[in-house]
Amino acid sequence: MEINNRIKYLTFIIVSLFFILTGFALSELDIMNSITPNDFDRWVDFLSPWIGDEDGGLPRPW
Amino acid sequence: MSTKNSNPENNIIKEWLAVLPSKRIRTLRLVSQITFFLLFNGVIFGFSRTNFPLPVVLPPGAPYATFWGGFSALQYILANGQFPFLVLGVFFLTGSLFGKLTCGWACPIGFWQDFLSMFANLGFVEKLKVSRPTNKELQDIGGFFLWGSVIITGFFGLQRLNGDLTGGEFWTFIPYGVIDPAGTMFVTFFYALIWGVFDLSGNASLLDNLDLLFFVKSIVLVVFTYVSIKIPRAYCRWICPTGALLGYTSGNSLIAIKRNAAKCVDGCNACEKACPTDVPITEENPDGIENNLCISCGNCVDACPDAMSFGFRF
Repeated sequence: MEINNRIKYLTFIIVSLFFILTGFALSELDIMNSITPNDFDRWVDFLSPWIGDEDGGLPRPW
Repeated sequence: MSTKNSNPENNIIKEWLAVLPSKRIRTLRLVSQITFFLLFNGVIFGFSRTNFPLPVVLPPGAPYATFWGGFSALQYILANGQFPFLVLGVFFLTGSLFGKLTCGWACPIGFWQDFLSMFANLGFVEKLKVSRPTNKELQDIGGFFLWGSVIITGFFGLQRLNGDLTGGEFWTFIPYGVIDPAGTMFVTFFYALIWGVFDLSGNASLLDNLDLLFFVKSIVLVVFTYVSIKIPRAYCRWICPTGALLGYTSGNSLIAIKRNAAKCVDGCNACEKACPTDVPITEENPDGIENNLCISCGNCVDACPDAMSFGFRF
């Protein structure tokens, strides 16, 4: 096995673990939680009027 | 003559069972793809919606999605003025451990393309063969969408960070979502068809409300479907930005497909013929395929279990 391969994937594993921890520390999941219907006005526009009533039965995507 | 042999249904089952041992990996992969498809749409079974990003194609807004598609999450976080550490971490970790295994074994869009390629495999349509250099060059399209979306969302992210922009339209958050065929199929069409087309109320008319973007999205989806029928895994190979991002680390992954060159027969090429993404396997490093077209589906292992195997690059 080429040593290069081993160095590359070990480096990436270490970097990725560092990134994941940093991401958690910076509360990135909270950013993704912040998605609101207003962010998707354009989308709602071109689906309108088909998406209909919010109580139509299916969950809204956000 | 026995009754058993004269029954055509029995013969079909027999033939199928005879083929099954030579498709062990394919059968396992099918089970895995179905399981992940149900898991990723788990809200329908009462699972909770989470916001964790995974390196598969899950369009933003998928009605029953339990996770976020990694590329959508990357765009959304960048567009909010934050560097996407978590998403890149998940991509790098998955890529460096498993390569593109998630594309072959878990991604719902990969699953859908495997289904579409069945038409060519069964002989209903003619399969289209692409030359090796073209196969490699067309991969740039995925990189173009990846970096294009990063630049656009980065630009809007900086504006939001500086307070020059608040809110904004959908495309400023997830620009690729505008043309993403997966989004059109599983989100736009889902809501359009299941929720409303058959029950238009008031003065609303279906034709009055179809706008240009809807047509653009639909045309992209039709092209995607047609190409995927003619060329197996065409979207995965050339277009998918999620795969393009995974591809940066997949070439050096811990788990890889290996080839025992000593057991190879000259001119056999059974592994290459079985490969859905046309990886030139015999020209690859036998200690582990490094080509980032490889989705670790294992079709080559099924085709030649003597020489091909899954293994570790220790």
